[in-house]
Amino acid sequence: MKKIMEVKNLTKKYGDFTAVDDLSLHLNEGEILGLLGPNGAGKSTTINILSTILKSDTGEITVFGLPYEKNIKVIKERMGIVPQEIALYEEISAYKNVEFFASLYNVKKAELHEKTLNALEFVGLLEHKDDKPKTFSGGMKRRLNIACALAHEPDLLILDEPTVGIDPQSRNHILRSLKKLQQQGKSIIYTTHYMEEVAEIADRIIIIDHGNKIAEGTLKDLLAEYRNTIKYTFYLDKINKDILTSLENIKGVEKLKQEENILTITLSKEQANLDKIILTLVNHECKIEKMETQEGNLEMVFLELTGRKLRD
Amino acid sequence: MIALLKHDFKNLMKGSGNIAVFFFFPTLITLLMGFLFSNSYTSSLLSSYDFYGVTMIFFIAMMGATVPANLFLEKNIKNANTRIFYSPVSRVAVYLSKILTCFLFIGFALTLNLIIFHSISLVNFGGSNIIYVILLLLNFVLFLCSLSAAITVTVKSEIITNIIISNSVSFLAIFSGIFLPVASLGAFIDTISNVSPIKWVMTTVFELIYDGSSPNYGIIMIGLLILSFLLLLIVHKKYKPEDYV
Repeated sequence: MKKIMEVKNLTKKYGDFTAVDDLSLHLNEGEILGLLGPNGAGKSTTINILSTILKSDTGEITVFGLPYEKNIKVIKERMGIVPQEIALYEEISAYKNVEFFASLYNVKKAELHEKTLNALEFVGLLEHKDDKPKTFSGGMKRRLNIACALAHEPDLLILDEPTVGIDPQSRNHILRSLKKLQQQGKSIIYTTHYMEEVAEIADRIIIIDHGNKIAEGTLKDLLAEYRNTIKYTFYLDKINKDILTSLENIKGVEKLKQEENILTITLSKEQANLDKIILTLVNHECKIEKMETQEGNLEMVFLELTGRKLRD
Repeated sequence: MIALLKHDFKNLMKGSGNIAVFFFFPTLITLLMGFLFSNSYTSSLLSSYDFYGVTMIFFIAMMGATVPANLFLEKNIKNANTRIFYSPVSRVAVYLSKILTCFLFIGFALTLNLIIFHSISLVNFGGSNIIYVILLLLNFVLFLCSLSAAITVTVKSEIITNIIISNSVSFLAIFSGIFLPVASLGAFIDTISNVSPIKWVMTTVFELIYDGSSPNYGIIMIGLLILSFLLLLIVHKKYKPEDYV
């Protein structure tokens, strides 16, 4: 498969803080690559480097087969960037916003009007083309933010958390739109800290934490290890060594993790011995105050890999 | 570059009060100050309107030094401006467009006021020497726009830049005798005022108008151009896209 972008050993430091640490990745033609990680994981720094706005300390980037440093102008012409912040002029119409940003990409004057309308139609804002963004809802602004990156018809689209703080309808519209763009042959890098979004649209997922790539693969690959497990979290009034020993001896218990009076038990689905676990706890006169169940999903994968939740 | 210029011009026109300040305020303040201080200027050579017509045009030009800061970093347009960096437009075009827009807008507005004052004989601009006054005014505006841009990209804050510029302008204006003759404030203040570059510019303008020429005109013109160039170098060095993401 043809690689649209290849990144090798990317590093970016701010003083002593390493925002991106020896990160390597690639994007195949026509692929949606999901960059998943919690806030502060280094996703935006990576995106800012890939979108040419930030310089890395070390690393090698090739885009469209061209070395990045020497071909920035050509590369930029074929890229569309949707920044995390809503980057719109609030006082001019939606149409004028899209038209202005498209005009910076050497779109021919004769095509500018049509391409502007196409982009607005694509994000479902054609009927609001004459309205100013200041009158828009958060979701509409997010969609316009995307339209501004689309009008010049880029081959590669990079989106940095484009659905932050919006309603489910707008989010669904955006995700559907990205799938449509993929069908048109566009290659897309999509960063988010919402696992359900990458699970829905990404062909391949890279999980980033502390600037490092900690896992890579398709959703199926990433879940494979955890698909046959189920995790129970018990909130108890006490936990002691005897209880832990008894639990360890139950068939199917793969892992026990204690944090004060919270006990997390990873159990094989094939040996669904929840009844025995509860019985053991009751026999040890433990009071179960609350219990949570979590089946193998991306959140669980992330938690296992990083020890923290995606929205931490 | 043309698309950027057009766009910056529109943003500037939408800025709160820019049209009023640069197109109408010079006339208003000249008429007001001229009227209020008419009794203080009894000489047939220099009326209060002659004095304030000149000084207020230059004072408003100084106030214009806050405009580039707004065009670079005003809250409503800052993020959208950052988006321009993602496009194939060069970094140089981005900052030059903003400085040039401010220069053209302020320069045009003040020159128009100056020509109207001259045409209706409200203010004496030295007859045919008016062209030299206009050139000096435009050079002064270019210097102020470059200065503002240099401060803005160095401190990277619209608010701090505006505080620095507003306070400096007020201080320099008062101690340059733009509002009142500083000689009346004592010899010490009068000496301090001689250090102010605004005073040099004003003295040169009044020499052009009332003496027909100024021995310092060429030096002031070249000096302002050199300073503008140096300030543009600072902008070039300091204006980095990565500081705005």
